[in-house]
Amino acid sequence: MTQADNTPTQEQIKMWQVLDEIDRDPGIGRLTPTQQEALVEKFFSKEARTQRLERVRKRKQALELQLASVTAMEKQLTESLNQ
Amino acid sequence: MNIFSYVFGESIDFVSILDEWSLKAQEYINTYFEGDRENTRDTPFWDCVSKIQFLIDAIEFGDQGITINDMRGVVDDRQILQAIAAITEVELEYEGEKLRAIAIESLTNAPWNVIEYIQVETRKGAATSLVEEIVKESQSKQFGGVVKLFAIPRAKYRYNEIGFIETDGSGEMLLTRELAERFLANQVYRRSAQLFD
Repeated sequence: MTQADNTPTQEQIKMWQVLDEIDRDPGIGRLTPTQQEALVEKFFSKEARTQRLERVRKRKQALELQLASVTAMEKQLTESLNQ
Repeated sequence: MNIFSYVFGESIDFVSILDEWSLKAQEYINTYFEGDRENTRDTPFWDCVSKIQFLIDAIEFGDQGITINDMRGVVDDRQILQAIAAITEVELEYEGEKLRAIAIESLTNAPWNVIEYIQVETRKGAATSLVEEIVKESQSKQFGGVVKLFAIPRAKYRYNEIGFIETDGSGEMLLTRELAERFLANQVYRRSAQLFD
């Protein structure tokens, strides 16, 4: 690279344009169109949406347990300060 | 150009994030594609949706030989995941030489990076930054930066332009040790010269 003044060459500008294209559309993976079709179908299926809901509920449950634990700590500390 | 941090394995909850991406994708279809997924067919958005499902299934059910430890991603300065990939370590032969390499099994941008309409989450440069980090990981594992990927037909010429060599016409493309160095140097220069996105 010969850009002492930091000015990109035409070749570099062209490469950056290609990199910009990759950023918009990476196109990496070995899925066939048929496999893609089946995955898109599954993505919108009731089965996949139910699985997502179950995972979200598990996350919510874990957060509720965490909140309960923090609330108990808060209560304990408040009581110890008030004694 | 935006700066990203590399994340991997269990350091981040990839499945929960993919679930969040799923909801966003559904929202964009309703807002920008008239609520009809057929309008996204053969677009980068269609690819994104299929890969979100592919990666969730791969992590949750382990049916693709991919585990959580094979997941890689880049997060932006607000810790939002902007692109995700599944990788494996492979041994291959190129021009009579046995090489160890990282294979990118699948890679996708976050849904907001593949629609035309700019969102608050949109960050340019995520996919190439993720490839860059994977090349660096290949170097750190003493694989010389060698990276293999499968490019879909419309993307082949782009990877060819940035240094990947098509090996057998199947879409399999290889970044060799020498060309990995050139790719990384170009990314450094691109980042320093493109200060604004």
